[in-house]
Amino acid sequence: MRWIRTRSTDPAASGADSAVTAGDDVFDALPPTGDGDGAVLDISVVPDRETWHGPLLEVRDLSVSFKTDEGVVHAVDSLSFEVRDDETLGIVGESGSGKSVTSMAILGLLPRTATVTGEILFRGRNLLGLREKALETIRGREIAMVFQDALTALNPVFTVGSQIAEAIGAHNEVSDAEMSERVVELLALVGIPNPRERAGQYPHEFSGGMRQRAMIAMSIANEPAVLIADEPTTALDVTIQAQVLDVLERIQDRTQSSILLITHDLGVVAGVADRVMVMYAGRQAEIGLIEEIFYEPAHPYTKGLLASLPRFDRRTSERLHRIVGQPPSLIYRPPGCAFHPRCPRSEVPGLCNQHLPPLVETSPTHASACHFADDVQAAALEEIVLPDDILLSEPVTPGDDAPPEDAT
Amino acid sequence: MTIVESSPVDGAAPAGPPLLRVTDLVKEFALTGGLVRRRVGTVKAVSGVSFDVDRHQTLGVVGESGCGKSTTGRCVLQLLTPTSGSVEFEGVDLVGLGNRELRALRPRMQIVFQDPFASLNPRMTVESIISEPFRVHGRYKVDERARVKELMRLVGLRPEHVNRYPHEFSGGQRQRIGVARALALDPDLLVLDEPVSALDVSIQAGVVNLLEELQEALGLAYLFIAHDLAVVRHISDVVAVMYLGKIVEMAPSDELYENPAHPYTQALMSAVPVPDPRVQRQRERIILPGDPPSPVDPPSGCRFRTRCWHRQELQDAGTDTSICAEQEPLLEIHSSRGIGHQAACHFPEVREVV
Amino acid sequence: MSNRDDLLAGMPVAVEQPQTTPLGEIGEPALDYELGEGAEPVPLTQWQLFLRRFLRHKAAVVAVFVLVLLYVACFGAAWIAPYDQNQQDLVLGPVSPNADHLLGTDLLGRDTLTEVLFAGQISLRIGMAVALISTVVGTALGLLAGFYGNWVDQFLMRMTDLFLIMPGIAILALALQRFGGSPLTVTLVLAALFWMWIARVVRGQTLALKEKEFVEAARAVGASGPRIMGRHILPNCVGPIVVNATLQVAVAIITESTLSFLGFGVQPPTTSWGNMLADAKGFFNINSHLLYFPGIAILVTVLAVNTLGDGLRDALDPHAKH
Repeated sequence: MRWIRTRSTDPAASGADSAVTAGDDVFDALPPTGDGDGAVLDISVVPDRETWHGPLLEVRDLSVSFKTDEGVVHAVDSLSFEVRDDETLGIVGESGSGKSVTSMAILGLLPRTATVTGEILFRGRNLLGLREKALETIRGREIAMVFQDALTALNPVFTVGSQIAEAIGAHNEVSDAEMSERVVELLALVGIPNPRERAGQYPHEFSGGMRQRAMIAMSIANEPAVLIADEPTTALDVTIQAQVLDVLERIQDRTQSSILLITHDLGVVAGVADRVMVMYAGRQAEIGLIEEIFYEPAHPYTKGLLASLPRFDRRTSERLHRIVGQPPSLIYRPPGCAFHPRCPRSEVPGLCNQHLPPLVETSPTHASACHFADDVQAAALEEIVLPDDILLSEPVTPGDDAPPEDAT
Repeated sequence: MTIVESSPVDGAAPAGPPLLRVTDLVKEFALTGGLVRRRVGTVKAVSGVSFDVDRHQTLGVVGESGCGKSTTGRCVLQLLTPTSGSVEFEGVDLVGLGNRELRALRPRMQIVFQDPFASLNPRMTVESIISEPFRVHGRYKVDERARVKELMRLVGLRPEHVNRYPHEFSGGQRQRIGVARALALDPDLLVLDEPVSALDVSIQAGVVNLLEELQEALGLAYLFIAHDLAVVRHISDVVAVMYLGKIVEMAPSDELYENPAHPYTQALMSAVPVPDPRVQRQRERIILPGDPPSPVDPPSGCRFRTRCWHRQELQDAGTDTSICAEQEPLLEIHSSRGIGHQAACHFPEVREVV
Repeated sequence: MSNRDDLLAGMPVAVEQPQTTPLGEIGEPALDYELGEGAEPVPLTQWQLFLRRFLRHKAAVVAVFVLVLLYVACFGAAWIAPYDQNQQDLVLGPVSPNADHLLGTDLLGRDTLTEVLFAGQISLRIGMAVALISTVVGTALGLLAGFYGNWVDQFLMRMTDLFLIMPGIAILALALQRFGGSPLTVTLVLAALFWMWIARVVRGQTLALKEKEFVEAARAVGASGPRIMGRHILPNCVGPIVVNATLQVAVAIITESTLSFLGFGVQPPTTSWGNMLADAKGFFNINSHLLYFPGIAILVTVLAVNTLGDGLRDALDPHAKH
């Protein structure tokens, strides 16, 4: 039996939403899918949870590129990582890092102009080769996605309830009455008050936080093994963000799905992730356990990034650390290590600017794509970074080898 | 509403009247609806906000969406006309000032916007963008280009790029162009409306540093509006927290963050994730129920009462909290905390939320 | 940031890598990497991008050639046409296309090819003039209405509505009676009937642009209304205006032809394609060439102009840029 039966006895777990208790046993009500029990679309494309013992999701050498007006964009380059059962993997990166493209590739949601190579193995089965029909049995059922902007991800002309019902109905044969019950239970589970009433409302009648929660409800309707959350809280206010993250955590406790959390916010990741992968310019920069990444980063980018964050829990009187330069163009990526133009460490000519750094393992769980990973990890921040440069006007004398920083 | 006194920063007493004094600022928008476009409601975006900004000082204004902070910023610069209240710049009330006098004062106070894409005219070169203030006010007619290049250097851009268009720059660089434009006429006050929110994290630090250095070098005062509490703490001297059109708490930066007294401030701070796993997982999170009420119909008395966890706690403990619904709490000096820390709450209680 | 922004944000068009390593003084500057021949990221100007996109639209490129050919042929008619305009040959009368007269002749023996070319001058001129005048007027009014709003907007929009409901043919007929059927009259009347479309488009653009932060920035600096309209809003409307103006040329040509065909447009002795059609309508059975060739001229012109307009619209789309 795949469904977890737990009844929440901790009143604090439901936060301040009193309506949640009604939905605690929602999953008891849903019959298992894939057991041949009234499930029509039981195309066993992938092995069941019980029969597969490898990593849940394994991405091997994934590369994605797009042709555009300005040239070929290499959005993702030879990316490899895995997601295991019941873990939360945080994928952290800034704009252009390729994190969203990766998630779209996993679900096969990339436009046709994309060229995708590599393998995406879900319980051993390569999703990249699958036909659309087969993919449809997996999407929404085994792998589900929560998008950033719930307003555009939800169809404005259908009620929220009907959209959740559609998600359920796509993979299960259920009577109408049962369907409504499930929808209401799901809405209650994600903490939406008056779920019965709300199910009949349209997305625009929901607030941002509620919409996001409705989307989460839709995504867990079939208890997916993997939930991909692509910047789920970026567009939300911080207090609403806390609510939504809270919901995600509770959901995970209950369903034991793995969550692939994609975000640029290191604070969010610090709170919920078990492991973190840092991406830069379409490649993997570093991957490791959360404590390893935050306390013993082994990549100059990670190190610089962490140091540049202002902390609101501390007094700061010095200037913030900054990483010079800006993320590279994905059309003309610098040769060798993509980060080398901004890296204070790349002083060895011929190495960083020519050779793609291998993934160096600094521990069995921690790897960094840097030629000097061990050194970087061991060094204190001050040793590998620059003294802060002066931004205010410096006279530019002709013949000066170092013009003022064209930096961001 | 009580007039807020300038809070001394670092022990230095303010010299003379504050650069900017905002008193009882109110901004309401009419909601029209129906066939005949009658007024069906009012959005009370800002409802009685008062604060001072001294020279060389940074006042940070934080809050979530809908709290009115951006509207406040625009009202200060008269980009929106306040419904009532006064905005005194060096003693001169800008509200109701004649067009010509207002225009003459504009060079002294400028604004930097949030969106580095939309805040620059895509059809104008950098030079045109930065020199437009000169053209409008007829300054630097002789050495305009030199001045433009100087400004570019000042904000960390290469002067050779004067003839480029905005789309040829990255987000952080565009934001610097916006800063250069704002500095063109030597203002005394800069209103910064979420200046780094739209930038990548690794770029934000550079722009924040730039702003700090410019403040030191040019003696600017900042009205720094943002929702990112970490950045605000870093750059501000005094911080005001807004909720639904009102300031609910205001204190010197470190004081506010270490000893928040208003339940909303406390909830807000507890919700901000700290990029430090051990710290973050240990924290107690205050989750606010529901969504913020609509600014068209704010709750009576204390506007935060419908989501106030502290009130819930007090009620559970048997305290009578009907005053919360009946009487609006004024922003008052919170006695136990000393100089300059004000909170608008009937039952303020300091609580550490990291 | 949406996924698309995620994709595009990673590729600023001009990325100039810093010329030296941040550490500078230590040993050799480490950043003398070569990206390979010609692979330097060079900023593409907006013009270059526009050209690239436009050239991808094969049909539009063909349309440009066709139009150029047409214009050269018509306006160079004095040199190109085999005969003089209005040169009659009453003896010959109407003949079908043959070696002497490539497109045949009409009732009065005038060479059709010659007539078509000269008539083209009128039709094309009217088309362009109408588009130009209506664009200028419409843009101005649209800008004012959108920018100032309130009663200015209301007034101008009601005017627009008024013009929209006016029956064009009736007005034209009246104007003809009053002012004579010269191309000028026809141009002015048609322009007066077309400006509303552009006005609406520009008004819409203005309303949208008015809220943009760079306009707010200009206001914060103290820029005056006219300055903002001219310097900030108008240049950013150019795309839709150009496209609209181009398509208006086609509409104007068709309208003029229709009106002339019905007898309300350009009056003889001035020939336009439209009144060539009018002259030919009685003779369709016998001398169909008199109907076909002016008709084809109109058709080709209008098709080319429309295709060009499509190409321009695709190439000028500003939203793909950001």
